[in-house]
Amino acid sequence: MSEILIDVQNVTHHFKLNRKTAICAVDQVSFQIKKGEILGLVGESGAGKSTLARCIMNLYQPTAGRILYKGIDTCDRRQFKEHKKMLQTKRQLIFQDSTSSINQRMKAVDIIAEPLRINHVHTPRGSARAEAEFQLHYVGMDAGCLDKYPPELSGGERQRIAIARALSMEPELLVADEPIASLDVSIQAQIINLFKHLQKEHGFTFLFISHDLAMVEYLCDRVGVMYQGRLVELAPTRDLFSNPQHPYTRTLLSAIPLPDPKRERNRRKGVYDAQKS
Amino acid sequence: MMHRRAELLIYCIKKILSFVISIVFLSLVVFYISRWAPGDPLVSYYGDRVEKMSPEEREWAEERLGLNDPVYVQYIRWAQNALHGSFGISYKYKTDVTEVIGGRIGNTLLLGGIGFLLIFLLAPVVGILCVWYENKLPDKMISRVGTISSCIPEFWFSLVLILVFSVIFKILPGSGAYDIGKSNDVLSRIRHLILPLAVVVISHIWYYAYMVRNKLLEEVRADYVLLAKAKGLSRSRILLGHCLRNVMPSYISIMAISIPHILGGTYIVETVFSYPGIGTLAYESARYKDYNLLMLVCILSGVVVIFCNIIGQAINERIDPRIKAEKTGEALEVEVL
Amino acid sequence: MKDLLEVRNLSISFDTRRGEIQAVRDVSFNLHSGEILALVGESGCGKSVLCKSIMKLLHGNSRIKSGNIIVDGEDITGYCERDMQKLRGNVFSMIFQDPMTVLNPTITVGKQIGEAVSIQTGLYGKRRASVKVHERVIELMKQVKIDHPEERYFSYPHELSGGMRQRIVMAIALAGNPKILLADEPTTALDVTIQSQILELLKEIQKNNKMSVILVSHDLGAVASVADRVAVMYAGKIVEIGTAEEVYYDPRHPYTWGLLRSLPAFSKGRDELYTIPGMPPTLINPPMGDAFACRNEYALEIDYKEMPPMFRITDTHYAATWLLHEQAPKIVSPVGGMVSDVRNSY
Repeated sequence: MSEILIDVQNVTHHFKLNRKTAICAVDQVSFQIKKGEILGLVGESGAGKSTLARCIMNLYQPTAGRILYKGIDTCDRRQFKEHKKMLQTKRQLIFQDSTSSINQRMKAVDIIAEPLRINHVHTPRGSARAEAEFQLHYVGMDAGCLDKYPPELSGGERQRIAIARALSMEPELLVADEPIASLDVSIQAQIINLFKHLQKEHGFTFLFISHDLAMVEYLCDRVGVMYQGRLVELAPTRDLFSNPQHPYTRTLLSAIPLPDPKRERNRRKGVYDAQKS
Repeated sequence: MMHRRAELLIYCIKKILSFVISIVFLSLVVFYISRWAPGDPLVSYYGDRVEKMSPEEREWAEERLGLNDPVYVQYIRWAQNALHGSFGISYKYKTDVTEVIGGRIGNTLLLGGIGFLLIFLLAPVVGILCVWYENKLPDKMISRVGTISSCIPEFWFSLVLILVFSVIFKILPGSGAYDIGKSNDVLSRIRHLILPLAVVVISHIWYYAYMVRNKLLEEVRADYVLLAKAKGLSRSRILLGHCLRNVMPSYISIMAISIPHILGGTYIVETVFSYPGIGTLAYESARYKDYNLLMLVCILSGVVVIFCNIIGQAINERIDPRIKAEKTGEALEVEVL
Repeated sequence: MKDLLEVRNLSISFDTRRGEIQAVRDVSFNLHSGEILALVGESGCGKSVLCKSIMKLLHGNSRIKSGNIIVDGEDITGYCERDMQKLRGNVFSMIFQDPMTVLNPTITVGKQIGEAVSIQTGLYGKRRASVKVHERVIELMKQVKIDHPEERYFSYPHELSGGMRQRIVMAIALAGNPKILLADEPTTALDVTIQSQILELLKEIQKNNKMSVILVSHDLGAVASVADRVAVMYAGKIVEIGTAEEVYYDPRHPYTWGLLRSLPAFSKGRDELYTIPGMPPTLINPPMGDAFACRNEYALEIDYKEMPPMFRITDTHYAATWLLHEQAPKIVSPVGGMVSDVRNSY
C-alpha cells in the first residue's frame, strides 16, 4: 500500500492563447498517488482537473514541473522514449463521454482488442476475441455484446466497454476523467461498484475525476479539491468531508444535493468567491 | 490595436508570398510541358508554308522565334520579358498576346460571370426548396433531375441544345457571341448567351445546391432549432434566419474556391459554341503550339484559381465566429508526445 | 389550485424501421398553477419525449396515438404547427439539457434573446423596435442574474461558461412570460455548484413570475430542493406520483425504492452501492404485465400478467404497483424517511 506510483511535483500547465497571453490551467500542483489507492479529484469545470489528468497521461507536456511514474520522469523525452511501451500500456485513460470517445462503427470486440493489436501483445487467452470476452466478463457484461455496435448499447454498457478496453492492457493506473457524469444514477452506481471492485480485488490504482462529490465520498480513499488551477485541499476522504479546511471545499460540500426535500428547502448554499476571501 | 494591425500585415505578406511562388511554379511547369508536347509551333506562324521549307529556312525561322535555344534559356528569356510586361507575340495572330487576350476576355467574363452569379444565387434557392420539402415529392424530383443534369457531359449537352434550339427549331443562335456586324447590339449578345449560359448553369448548379441541401439538413437537425422552435419562431424564419445563416460562411468560401471550376466549364462550353472567349483561345493555342499565348492564358487562369482559393480561405476564417474560436483553440492543442 | 395543464391517457409512438417504439404509454397527470412538478426516471423512460410532445417539438416519425393534452382548459392535441407557434413562448416555453448546442453558435446571445422578445411582443422585423427590445433583453438578463448584461449582450455562446449559457437559455424561455416552463434536464450537463445555483434561480423565477414548472431529471437527489410534487416514470409510464414529501419519505413503488437506494447518500458505510438489477425493457414490444417486474425483487405473480392500475394512497399520492392491492403481502419499504445521518449544512 505504501509504494508511491505517481508523484506529481509542482506541475504547471499554460495554454497559450497568442504570443503574449497565456491561461494558467494548472498552477503548481503537487501530490502523490500510492499504489492501490483511489484518489479523487474534484472541482468545477475549468478548474484544471482534466488538464492535469492529460498531463499525467502525457497527452499534454506540462509547462513546468515533473511527473514521476515509478520513478521515471515521464515529462522527460529521453526517459519517456526509453520506457515508452511500458508507460503506454500500464497507464490507461477513461473518458467522460463514451459516445464520442469510442468509434461508433467498430464492434465491441474490436474496440476492446484494438490496444492489443496495436501493441502486439500476445495474451495468455489465445485469440484477441477470447481476451475481449474475458475483459467483458470482468466488467460485468456477457459475451452476447461482443458483436454489437456501440449505438445498440446503453450508456452504461458503452462506458463498460471503454473500461474493458482500458483494462485489456492490464494497466496499473487508471485515470478516469468524469466517467459517470453522463450516466443515469443507477448506472452510475454500477460503474462505481465496478471501480471499487477492481481496486479491492485486483489492486488497481485510480485517479478518479468527478464533480459529483457524493460519489467521490463513497468511492475514494483520498480527495483533492481543485480551484482555478490550484490544488486547494488534499485530505483523506473522511477528514475532508467531516472537517473541510478551505472555504471553497465547504461551498462544494454544501452544494451536494440530498434526497430530503424538507431539509433541502431550508438549506442555505454558499457561494465561494476567490476575490472576497 | 497596433498588435492586431501587425498581425494582419504579416498575414497578408504570407498570402502574397505563397501566391507569387505558386504562379512562378505554375509558369515553369506549363512552359516545360508545352515544349515537350509533340507538335510544330512553326505551323501556327507560317501555316502550310512550313511543309515546303528547306532545313535552312526552318532553322532560320526557329532562330527568329527563339525556339532553338535550350528550354531553360527560353524560359529565362520569357520570364525576363514577362517581368517587363511583354509576353511576346502570338504565332497565329501575329500581334501582342495581351492584345489577343484583351479582345476576348470580355466575352469570357460575361459568360462566366453571369453563369457564376446565377449559380451563386440559384443554388441556395434550390437547396432550401429541397430542405423545405424534405423527402417529399419536390425534393425527390429536384434531386433526381439534379443528379442527372450534373452527370451529363457539358460538350454533349451543348450539342443537344444546339441541335434542338438552333437546328430544329431555329429560335436561338448556336455559335458565336453576336451576329456578324452587330457587336454592339445588346439583344443579339443576349440571344447568343442564352444557350451557353444554360449549359454552364445547369451542369454546375446541382453540385452546389446539393451541398447547400446537405449542410442545411444537418443544421435543421441541430439542437438550436429546437430552442428556436420553442421560442415561437416559424419554420421559415428558423430555416432562413438560423440555419441558412450558419451555412452561408462555408457556402461562400466554397463558392469562391469554385470560381475556377465554373470557369473551366465555360472554357469547354465556349469551344463547342465557338464562342470567342479565352476558352477557345486556350484550346487553339494548345493545339497549334502558340507558346506565348498558351503561357499567358494558363497564367491568367492560374492567377484566378489561386486568388479565388486565397479569398475563399480568408472568408472562411473571418466570417464564422466558431472558426475564430478554433483558431485560438489551436494553441490549446499542445504537442502530443 | 387550478389545473394549468392536464395530460390525459397520452400515448406517443415512434415509427422506426425496427418497429413501433411506444415511448409514452397511457400517461395522465395534472400540473397545478404555481407548482414545480419533477419528472424523474432513467434515460429512455419517455420523460423527455413527454415534455417535447406537450410543445409538439418532436420529429416527424413520432405521433400521438391517443389521449389529450389540455392547456388552460383548451385541448391542444390536434393543433397544427401554426396554432402551436402562437402558444410556444408565451403559454409554454422550454429549456434544454445542453445549453451549448441549443444556442446558435454564430449569433450573439443578446440577439438570440432579442429574437425571442420581438417574436413575443409582435415587434419582429419592425423598425424602431430595437430600443425597446434591447431594454427588455437587458431586463431579462438581469432577471436570470447575469452580471454585466450590457457586455454579455455581444458575447457568442462559446465565450460563456456552461452555467452562463443555461441562464441565457432561461432568459430566452422567459421572454414571453410563459405560464408553463418545461425544463428538460437543465442541470445535468453542469457542475454541482452551478447546478444548485441554476435550480435556485429556477425556483426564484417560478415564484416571482408565478409560473408552473415541469422539471425533468434523472436524479432524485438533485430535484429534492425545488420539487413540490414528484412523478416517477418507468418504461413510458408514470409509476408513482405524489408530493415531494410523500415520494421521498413514503415511497411505495419498488422502482422508486430502487432509484432512492442507488443514491450514495443511502449507502453510507456500506460496501457496495445499491443498483437496480437488469436493464429497462425495450419499448418496441413492452412486456404485457408490469414493465418493472423482471427487475423487481418483490414482484408478485400477477405482475407478469397484468398491468397494475394506479392505486390511491392519499388524495395526492398514487402508485402503480400490485403491492398496494389489499390482497398483496405487506412489504416494508427498504428506504424512506429522512436521510439518517445527514451531514451538517454549511
